[in-house]
Amino acid sequence: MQTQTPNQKMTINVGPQHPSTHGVLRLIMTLNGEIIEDTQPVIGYLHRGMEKIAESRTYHQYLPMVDRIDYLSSFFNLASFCYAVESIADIQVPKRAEYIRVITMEFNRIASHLMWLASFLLDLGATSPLFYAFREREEIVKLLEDLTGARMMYNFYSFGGVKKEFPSGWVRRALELCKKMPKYFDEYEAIVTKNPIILNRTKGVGILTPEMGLDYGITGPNIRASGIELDLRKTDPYSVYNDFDFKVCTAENGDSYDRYIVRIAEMRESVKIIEQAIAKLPGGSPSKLQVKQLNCGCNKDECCVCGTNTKLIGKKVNPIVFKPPAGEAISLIESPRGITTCYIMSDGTTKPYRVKWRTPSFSSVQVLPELIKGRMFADLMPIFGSLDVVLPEVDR
Amino acid sequence: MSELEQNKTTNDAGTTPGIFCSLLIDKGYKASPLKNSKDGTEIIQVQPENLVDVATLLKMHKEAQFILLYSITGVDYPDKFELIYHLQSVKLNKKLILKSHIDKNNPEIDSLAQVFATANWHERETYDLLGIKFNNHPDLSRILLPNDWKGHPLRKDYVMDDERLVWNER
Repeated sequence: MQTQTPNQKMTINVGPQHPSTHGVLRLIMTLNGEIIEDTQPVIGYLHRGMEKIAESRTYHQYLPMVDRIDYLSSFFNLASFCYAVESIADIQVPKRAEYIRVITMEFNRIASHLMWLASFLLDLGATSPLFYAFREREEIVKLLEDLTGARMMYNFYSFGGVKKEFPSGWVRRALELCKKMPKYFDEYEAIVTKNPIILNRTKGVGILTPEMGLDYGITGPNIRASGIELDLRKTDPYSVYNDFDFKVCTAENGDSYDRYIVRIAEMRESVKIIEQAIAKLPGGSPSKLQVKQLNCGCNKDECCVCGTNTKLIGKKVNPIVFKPPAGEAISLIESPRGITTCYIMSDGTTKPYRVKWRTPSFSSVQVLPELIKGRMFADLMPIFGSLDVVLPEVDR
Repeated sequence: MSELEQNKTTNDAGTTPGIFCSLLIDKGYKASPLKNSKDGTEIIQVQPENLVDVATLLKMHKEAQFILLYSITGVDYPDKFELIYHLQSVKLNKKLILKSHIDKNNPEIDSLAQVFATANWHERETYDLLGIKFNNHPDLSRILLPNDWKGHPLRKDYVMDDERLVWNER
């Protein structure tokens, strides 16, 4: 290897249709033998102009689009958008609706992490964990389907609450699933955690130091695997996360293996949160799921926002177009991949003036060249897979 | 927090700048406090020419340590461009928003890529979608749109009848 001249460097193209990139990511790599010398990620293949689309749609028309930003964790995008709009319009979400949001979000987090686990191990060449992970993911997706009517694009939250009550028997089934879930996680750990092949391929590979991670804006499980306790559910609680007792899962080394460990631990914590949320679920009638009247807090008589009946917004008969007051708000949500923020600027009309999405995977792709520099080409997938990048979220 | 707390008490009399705004004013930068956001986050307006110094100061300050830059947002107003920087201090668990206004006809601002590595791509995105030029940026090229795209879609005067919106073999 040492005797090679610079002329023998080779530029190869990974993607955009590479099966392990979970979407369309193109990497232009310069290899020296098998050593990766330089990487240039090319993104944008899935750019749909989410931010531009928002400017031509009313708030309620944009709501279903939001799911598509990250299809594996749509509840978090919805929550991010809803919390931002609610912050502008000063809408207080009813307690029961908040609990329903937390329960669905945590189920979504588990489903997303399971999907990550399956695809990560598939990238490493292990086929059988896929079937184990999809078995539970199917049960979660089934639950969410019964609740929302969709398997991936839920469109379930609305400004000021959630759209539906739990169907009968849903809570019981959710609890049963929560009871089963830790045993399932034990099963994966029995297969994976001490597996010598996994250990060899992931331990000490792709080490993300805390300084580098923060410099690159890495958040979520990736930065927690480097030992930084940055979990918005704990450090800056939104929604009703204050009510629950859970711990922030961290690891020390920041390598691919630690990112795996953190995600498995996080799924266990999510199960605990769901169980507590169901136990504490405030009772209520359907009227406690959504605010009835909007109140922007301006205390003016002629305000067009105050007193708006939410039941009529966007309905076919006598529709009212939702019009939050002028202002700006940002909402920060701890999504399965990191911190998702939605920044909304309203100018008091029916359409947002500017919507900006900050998605965690965007930063994860940016840090990839640093992590794989000087490693073997075979280490690309153990590193890239462990970052849990979802490409639609990168391109928006 | 000793130095920060001290600054707060000395400056409370005026237009009530927050602790970080007073820190900047004390160091001699032109910073003006804006109304806090609803969750109590301090918003500071800084001059574009001071931005890199201010960001460096906030990042390197031994008590504040705003080492995490969430996002860079550009907004197209009728008379100006506004750039919004969301910062987070992991140590203090505090957020901070910096705003900077730049000229509409000549949208240029210094790049933060030397201060925060994450700014590199966020600035490229802002350049791509809004056409704001970042001086001293290591590689200011389009990131989300193809290289031959014309115009910057998030500008309010962008016309959406581009022939590129029709699918063609590229």
